[in-house]
Amino acid sequence: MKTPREVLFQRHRAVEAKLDAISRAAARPSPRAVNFLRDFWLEVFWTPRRIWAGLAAVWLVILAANLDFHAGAPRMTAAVSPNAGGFLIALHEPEQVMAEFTRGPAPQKAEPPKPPAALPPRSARHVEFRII
Amino acid sequence: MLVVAEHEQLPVAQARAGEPAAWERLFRRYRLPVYVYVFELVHDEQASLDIVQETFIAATRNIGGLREDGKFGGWLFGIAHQKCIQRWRKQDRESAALEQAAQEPDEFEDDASELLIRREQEAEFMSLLEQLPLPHRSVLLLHFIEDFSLEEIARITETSLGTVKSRLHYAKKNLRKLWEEK
Repeated sequence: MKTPREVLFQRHRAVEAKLDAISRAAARPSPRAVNFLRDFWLEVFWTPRRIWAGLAAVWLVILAANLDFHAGAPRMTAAVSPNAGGFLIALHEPEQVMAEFTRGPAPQKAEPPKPPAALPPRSARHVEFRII
Repeated sequence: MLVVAEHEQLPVAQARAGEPAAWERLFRRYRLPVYVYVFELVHDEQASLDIVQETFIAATRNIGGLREDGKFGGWLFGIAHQKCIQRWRKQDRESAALEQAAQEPDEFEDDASELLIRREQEAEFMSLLEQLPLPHRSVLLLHFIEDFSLEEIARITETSLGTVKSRLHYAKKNLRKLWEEK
């Protein structure tokens, strides 16, 4: 005769080797940096892995559409190339007109500075005072 | 009666100090009971092993939150119980069953007589246990595996004492009824 506890334990004895490995690993904690990286990986990438896979799929679709668009682009430029010169002239014409309007009159040539007037010697200077 | 955890000399203080040998001893003591409890709730070996591992890692990180060293066993089972609920919530199934409130009886009558099972009845017993509703099975497993007190079971399952009494009462009653019907 056995107790329910004995029956329950006996039923799962086979898994003890795996539990032993788990216990040993958990009892010897890894360094904090490793814990942080593991947590970061689990929280940011592993747990929402389906969301990441979905986003990756969306980006692949966008990339494929973009590549397809660029593959068709040369044909379009070839189609418009005869008018490309005229188009460029038309594009630059307003710029030239604008430059003409904003261009001011040519700057006048500045007069050279005059030399200072020659002062008489200090002894020859005549100072006058007037009392009113 | 079973020899319960609170009478054992467990190196909880040393584990709190970060001694790997102390943790190994604690995990060696509880690895099978915790696994049995988790497996009998989730019925998936790999999921149960994952939960046990998560439980042990969480224990090493959060040992600072354990107030009484003598309650280590209940505290560890509480972590495992929460991990099971988290897994069910992720899978969006059975959580409602676990959280459903059971009807409380007018008076709780604890059956002191131990259930003893003959070898030829073991498979039958396990089959009957699996037929019990999840909340009842959870309480009964905690009672069978570690002989936790009603208060400890209430703490582990985060339910009221009255609910635990009710669930244990009905679990035993239903198990006996199923047993007699067989």
